[in-house]
Amino acid sequence: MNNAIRAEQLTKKYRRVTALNNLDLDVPSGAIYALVGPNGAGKTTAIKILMNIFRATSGRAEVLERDSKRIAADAFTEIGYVSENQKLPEWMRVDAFLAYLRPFYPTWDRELENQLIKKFDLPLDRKLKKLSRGMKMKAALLSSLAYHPKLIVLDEPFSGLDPLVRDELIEGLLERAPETTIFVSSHDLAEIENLASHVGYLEQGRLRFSEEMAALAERFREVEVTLETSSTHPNNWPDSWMNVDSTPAVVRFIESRFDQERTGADIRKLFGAVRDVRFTPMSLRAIFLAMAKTGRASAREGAA
Amino acid sequence: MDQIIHIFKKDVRHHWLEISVAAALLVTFGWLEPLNWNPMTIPSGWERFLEGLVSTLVPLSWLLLVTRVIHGESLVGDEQFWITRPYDWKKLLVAKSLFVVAFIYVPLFILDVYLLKKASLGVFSHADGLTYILGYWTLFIILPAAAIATVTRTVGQFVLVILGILVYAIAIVSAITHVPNLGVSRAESLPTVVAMLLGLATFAVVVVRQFATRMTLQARATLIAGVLAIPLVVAAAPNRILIAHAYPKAASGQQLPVAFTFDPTKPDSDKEFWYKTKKKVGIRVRLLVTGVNRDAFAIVDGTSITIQAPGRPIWKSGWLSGGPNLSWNTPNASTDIAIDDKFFDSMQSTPTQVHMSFAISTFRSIDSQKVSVASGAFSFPGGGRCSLNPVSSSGLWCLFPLARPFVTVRATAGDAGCSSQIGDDAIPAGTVFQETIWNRDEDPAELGISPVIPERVAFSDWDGETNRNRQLMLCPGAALTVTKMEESEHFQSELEIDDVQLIDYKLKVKTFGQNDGAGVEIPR
Repeated sequence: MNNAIRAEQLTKKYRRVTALNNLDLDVPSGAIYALVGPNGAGKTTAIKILMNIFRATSGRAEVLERDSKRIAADAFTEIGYVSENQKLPEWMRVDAFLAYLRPFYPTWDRELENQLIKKFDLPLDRKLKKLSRGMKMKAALLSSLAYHPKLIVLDEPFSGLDPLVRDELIEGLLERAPETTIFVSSHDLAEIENLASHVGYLEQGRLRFSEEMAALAERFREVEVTLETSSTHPNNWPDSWMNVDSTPAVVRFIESRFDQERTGADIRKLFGAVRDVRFTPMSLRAIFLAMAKTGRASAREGAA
Repeated sequence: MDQIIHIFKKDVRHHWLEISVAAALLVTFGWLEPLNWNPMTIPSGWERFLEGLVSTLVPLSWLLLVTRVIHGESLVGDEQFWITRPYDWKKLLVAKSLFVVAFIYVPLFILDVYLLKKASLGVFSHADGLTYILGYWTLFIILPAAAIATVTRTVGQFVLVILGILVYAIAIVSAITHVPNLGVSRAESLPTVVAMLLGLATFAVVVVRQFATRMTLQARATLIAGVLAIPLVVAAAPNRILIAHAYPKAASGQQLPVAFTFDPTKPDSDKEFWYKTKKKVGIRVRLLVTGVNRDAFAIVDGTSITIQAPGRPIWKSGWLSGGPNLSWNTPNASTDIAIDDKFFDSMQSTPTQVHMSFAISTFRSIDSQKVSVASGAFSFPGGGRCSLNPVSSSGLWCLFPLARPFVTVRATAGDAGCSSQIGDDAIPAGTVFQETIWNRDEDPAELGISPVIPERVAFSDWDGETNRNRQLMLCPGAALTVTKMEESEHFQSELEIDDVQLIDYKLKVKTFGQNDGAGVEIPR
């Protein structure tokens, strides 16, 4: 399968601050790829380099098989980009905004436009500056969907929106999913979980993992081990165990390379016979929090 | 092309208010400007205020139009919706240029054509001048405004940058007066052209690069470097060499068209003054002028003075700009020199040697035409229309298309068409009165919004014998001789003055605001 987005060793430095550090990224065509990470992780920087809004310090990227440095006029007939902070021409009414954009896109679909207007319940006769934040996002998304883009790039699209508007936006996106690739950055993990087919976790400019959602869900487990007898424990936990929390009788941790047989063998090797072991699947939010917690702990150790 | 028109139409819808304001100002200008063409209707009071206001607001409205239309698709920042839409930067730039053409150039052109027609001056023969007007508005207003607009986000930022540039310009102008060897007109043309080309290149590069790449920091750096460099080009030019090249020294024994000799007459301490200048003392050197041909005249473009005495330090002024205009009936002239006060104090009573160099341009007549004054408007060489000045019967009131001609106009008492003159007995028949209409640069158009240039031509002179100002009255039928002038020669003339004591030529100090009924003599 072709990749809609491919980045190799993408780095962006602002003087002494490294916003993006050797990012390698593959977004398969047709995927709904969620780039998640805490604030300041480098998600927006990565997207802006891909959209040729920023220049990378080093490395390269391809978007729809074009060098990202050459993403310009024509390329944007195939790309839809919506960002939480995007400045729309606020003096325009919604209908004038759509009418203005139409001629830029040879593939603009009036029928789809009308469907989306109804779906999003957009007031056509109102100026963009008079719209609520949610309505503005809807207008921006509509104007980025109506021409059947091959790639839709969304930078924190759900940030600060009420749940109803979020659901409407996600529904609108999912309806377009079969014909397009969606690349979305967010720290709003609950919605991403229902939306994404792939997920990448970015932290301090580095991509910690990037994989299919199903594989990720399969890989992470909360593990609770109840021991036969209270005892002291060794400190040499396996590398794949995160956030280990132990008492003399119970050890809890997050297994980041879960395999029932291998994890079971690791537990037996460390503790011998145990009374009970429970493996609990994790939500994306729980995985994200665990990763963030581990990342901060490593950063603190590194700083120390 | 579709995208260009599409963006253009959007900009027209968006900026209709600014367009309307600019158009209304231009129409108001077109209504007020003709009042200046007749000395009976020249605005005064509130009309004058309104005219001045409108003349200022018209270019400001253009600045606003350029800025607002460029800010419509702001080139600064990374959150504008349009930067991730299928905009072709070249088409965007053309669309913005089309807007400027449609709402600045075309209205200005239409206004200028209207004004030329209303003044009964030719239109089609002045296409080059009309284009020139658009060209200098582009160079001095539109292009700089466009460059600044491409690197600013809001009108507020734009205004701050303009204010910054104004402060810089004021600082430069006041600093540049202390730079020696500047302002000697002919020697300045090369550095001025280089500075203008540098400005043009800087603004054009900033605009095009910003539209193409939106690398704002780089564009701002380029703009600042260009603006800083423009006055430096003029100030740092090898002006002494340029002056020496533009005004070559006369060969030994060469007869020059103008000759100076020293007139030892001392300043009259009751009538001749020097405005107090910090750490400077003013002295006045009088000169006797000979050699200027009757059909020619000369201008001292610059003066350089060296003062020395045996065993004392030498003081050099460097080249100072400006000097008197000299014609066949200018037997004497004077030049004022600002000398460092410490040097003056140490030398004031010492016999010194003064060496003066004058950078002189001469002008010769190339074509003469007889013009008969009519009772109404009549044609005048240079494409102008003149009539007898209804306010003052001693002259003409003329309107010229785009620029004044560079001519001298002569009238002779007894040939002025009037049966009698005011104070007739004071003007013997045959007395020649001469007036010069200056346009030394001979550019196709003068700087301004209006292409119609009013000019008053008066015939008067100072009668040294009776100590009275004489005015020649003109009547229909008066015969005038209009002579076109052109620059002919440029050279340096030297003058050695031996054994003078500076104290004898010191001017009495006068402070600003001190009113004693006398002023500094203006060399004639």
